[in-house]
Amino acid sequence: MSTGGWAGKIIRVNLTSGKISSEDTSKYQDFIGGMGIGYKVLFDEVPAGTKPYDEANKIVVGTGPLCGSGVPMSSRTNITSLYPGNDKNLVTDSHMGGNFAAFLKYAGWDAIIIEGASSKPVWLRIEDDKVTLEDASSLWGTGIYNTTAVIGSTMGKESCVAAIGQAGENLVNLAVIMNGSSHSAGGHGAVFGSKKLKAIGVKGTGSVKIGKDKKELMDLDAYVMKEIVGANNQHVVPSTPQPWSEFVYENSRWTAREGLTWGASEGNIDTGIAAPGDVNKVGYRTMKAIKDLGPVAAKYTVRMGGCQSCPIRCHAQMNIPQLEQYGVSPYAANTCMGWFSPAGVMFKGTKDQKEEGDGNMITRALGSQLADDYGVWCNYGSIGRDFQYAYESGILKNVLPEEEYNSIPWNLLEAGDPAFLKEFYRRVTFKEGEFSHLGDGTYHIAKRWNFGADYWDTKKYSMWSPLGFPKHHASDESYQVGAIINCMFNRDAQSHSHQNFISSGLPVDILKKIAEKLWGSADAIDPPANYTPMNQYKAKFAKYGVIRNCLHDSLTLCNWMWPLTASPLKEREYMGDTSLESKYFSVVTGIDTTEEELDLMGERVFTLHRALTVKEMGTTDMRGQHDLMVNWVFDIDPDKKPFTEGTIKMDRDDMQLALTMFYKEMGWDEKTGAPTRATLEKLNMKDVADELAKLGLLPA
Amino acid sequence: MSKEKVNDEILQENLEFTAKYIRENSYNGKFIKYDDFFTEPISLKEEEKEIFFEKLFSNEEYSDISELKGKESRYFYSKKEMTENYAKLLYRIEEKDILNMVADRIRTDSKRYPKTTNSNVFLNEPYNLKKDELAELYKQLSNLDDYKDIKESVASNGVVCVYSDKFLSQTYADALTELQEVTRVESQ
Ligand code: SF4
Repeated sequence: MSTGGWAGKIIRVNLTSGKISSEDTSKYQDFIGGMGIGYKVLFDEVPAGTKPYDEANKIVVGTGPLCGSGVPMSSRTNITSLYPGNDKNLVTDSHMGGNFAAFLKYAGWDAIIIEGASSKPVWLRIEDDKVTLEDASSLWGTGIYNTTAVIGSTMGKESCVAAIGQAGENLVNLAVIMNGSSHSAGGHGAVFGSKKLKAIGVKGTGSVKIGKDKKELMDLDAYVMKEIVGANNQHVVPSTPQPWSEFVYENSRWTAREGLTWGASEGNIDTGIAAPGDVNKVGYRTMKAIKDLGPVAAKYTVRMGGCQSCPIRCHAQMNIPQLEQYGVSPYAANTCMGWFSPAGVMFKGTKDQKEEGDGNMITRALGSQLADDYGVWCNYGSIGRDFQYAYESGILKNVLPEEEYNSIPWNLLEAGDPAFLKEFYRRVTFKEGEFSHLGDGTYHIAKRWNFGADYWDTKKYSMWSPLGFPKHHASDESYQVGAIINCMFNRDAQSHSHQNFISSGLPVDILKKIAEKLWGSADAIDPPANYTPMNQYKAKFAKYGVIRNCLHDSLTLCNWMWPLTASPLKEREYMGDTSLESKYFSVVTGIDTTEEELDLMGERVFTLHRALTVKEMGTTDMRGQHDLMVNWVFDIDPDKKPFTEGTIKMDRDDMQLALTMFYKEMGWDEKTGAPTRATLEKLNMKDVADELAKLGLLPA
Repeated sequence: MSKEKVNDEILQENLEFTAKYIRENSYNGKFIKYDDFFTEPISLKEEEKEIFFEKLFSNEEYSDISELKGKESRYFYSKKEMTENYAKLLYRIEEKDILNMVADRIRTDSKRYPKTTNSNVFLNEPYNLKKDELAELYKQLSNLDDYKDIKESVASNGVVCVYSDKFLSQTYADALTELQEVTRVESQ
């Protein structure tokens, strides 16, 4: 094991026996950390056919060597387990930012492998080397906020708590684990619940060792802060014209400008001109409250907050006094879908209360507080769309018993009154009646309530896969590249590597120049809504997207920022630096590693994911049974042909070619999309190849 | 020290101060106008102006200082601290050439990105138009031959964008509007 980066130890907790042991991380070094450790544990230790809530299922809460080291945007927790949201129950990951990951490293641990199931509610207490299971009976039945407060006051303010709410306890498939204002989208809260594990509290007094000279780390940080880093999602162009920028792109999250303030802060702090190079202003660049909650939110913003080690601060911290009328705190903090999902539930719109846009803001803030306290996830916004479809198609009226249907205050929904959200989230969390099955996840609810083909085949409902997960930066934004990436994972693709680059705010000619340098041809990138047939450069770009995503979740780095493909600087021709992960890895771990070598490690992690998927599905036929897309992808815009200006309509044959080219890039079997023995062995996974061979799951 | 030498040094100091002052203002998105040279803090004397401007524009050290001539004023900025695109925009604002200011942005977006432009961007900094002014302006644009290329495109959620049909067809503009105002807003 190297001298830097990794803490060197992993906690293994068996909740059935109560045994807690320590293992050496070096066993997993080839898989880096976080996601890589999670996949290896699940491949080696969880038999195919295991169900998510079975005692035999395991859940791995992991960090990586860069986490806690001072590398920017590196406090990510990766959680790996089986997914309850569909009937395949394949391996998935959920991720949280916050402080938890860094604190776990400070306590001297790289990951926690949780196995078995407790007979009574417990929480796991980690204080440096001292790891104990504590009684959680008094916490069981309470929300995440209370649990966090109680454990936090027991362990002290230097601690961090990751907890589930009542949704996790009640085995709601769409349940999360949460620390601070960071929740793990991904449905693993109920796996905690099935094991009667209420929370993990962690406090560490150690630090992460740096393998090489610390000055090298500081120099890299200074370089990133001055020349490379942008705003949230690595947007490198401002949203309003700024003196320093030759471009402007209104969708950008680089919102800082004179007159835009954190209106509820002491002194009404102005985000001002936060030009590249001004390192002390990086934290003002992303005034995301106005993106997530609308322009009215500026005056309710206390400040922008975020995860440990992150200069970007994408979590809006709000003080909205109007929330108190709904019995919740006026203080709310969240980011992205945490704010967006409740607005999706209120699909009839929201009514303003005192000023333009406040109804929308209050709705989002109230919904986010309810969902976060109960610990409910939204399947990337699908819970609202599922609800909308069921309501508008009349299905809900048919499937709900009359008494139950009449007990729901539809008048609140119709009137745009956010109080409806209290009913909605409570029913889902406590599994009240038939309505609560919305929390089972799209796949289950569509089957249970017999959703029609129009649900799956209309873009409005955003479904991507027949396995019940929605599109997430898919073909409608990045054509074959987005489509491939969306087919690869076992839930909505959590990869932003490709999209952050495409949406960086730079015009297409500059994106193309960067693409040429990185993937061999400008043809790796298409102009928006004017895409061309598949080519090998797109396959390379897609591979970059997937592999960097896996690297980030293993190292661990925030993929909402990394990789830093573009830069805000004209003098760099807007070129970011894709070698940064490997440079940081080399400095922090002390192991000299090139960009290509680190990418190969990412390839190993993702190929293991694929092998695990093959093993769990019991088939090598990934093309035919896994890498699937619903029909709207190909049938949208009936009057238009694929590859013509102004359509996102994909071509079925071209997409099959796209998959073939991607499989080839990955060294997988081009017919089935399953990993071959040669590739597994090249990636040092002979044991995985042997296991698949034993199961008859290696392609011919 | 001779009087000329003293004068030279003072001139040099003034030039340095002025260049720094222009750069700071450029960083903050502001021009220095010709009249500003003769008031605090530059306080240039009428009799010194010839030699001062000659030196300002001939000295390599100040090669970033650039000038735009308007109808009634001259505008100075630093190319190091303010991009030419922004300077052009500021020039339009200063010269109250609002129609071209709006048309420039729309045409550049359509041609270069390509994208349509949310019709409300002109309500924000640094355009700062009022809602009724903007509505009036769009009306004017549609009635003037020079701006006949500026057209509207509406997203499925009702958001209105504008584009130039010199660079985008209506079909393409509509797809771009949908991408920007619906798809990318939904995808967090
Ligand atoms: S960009 Fe946002 S989610 Fe990512 S590390 Fe920073 S604060 Fe956390």
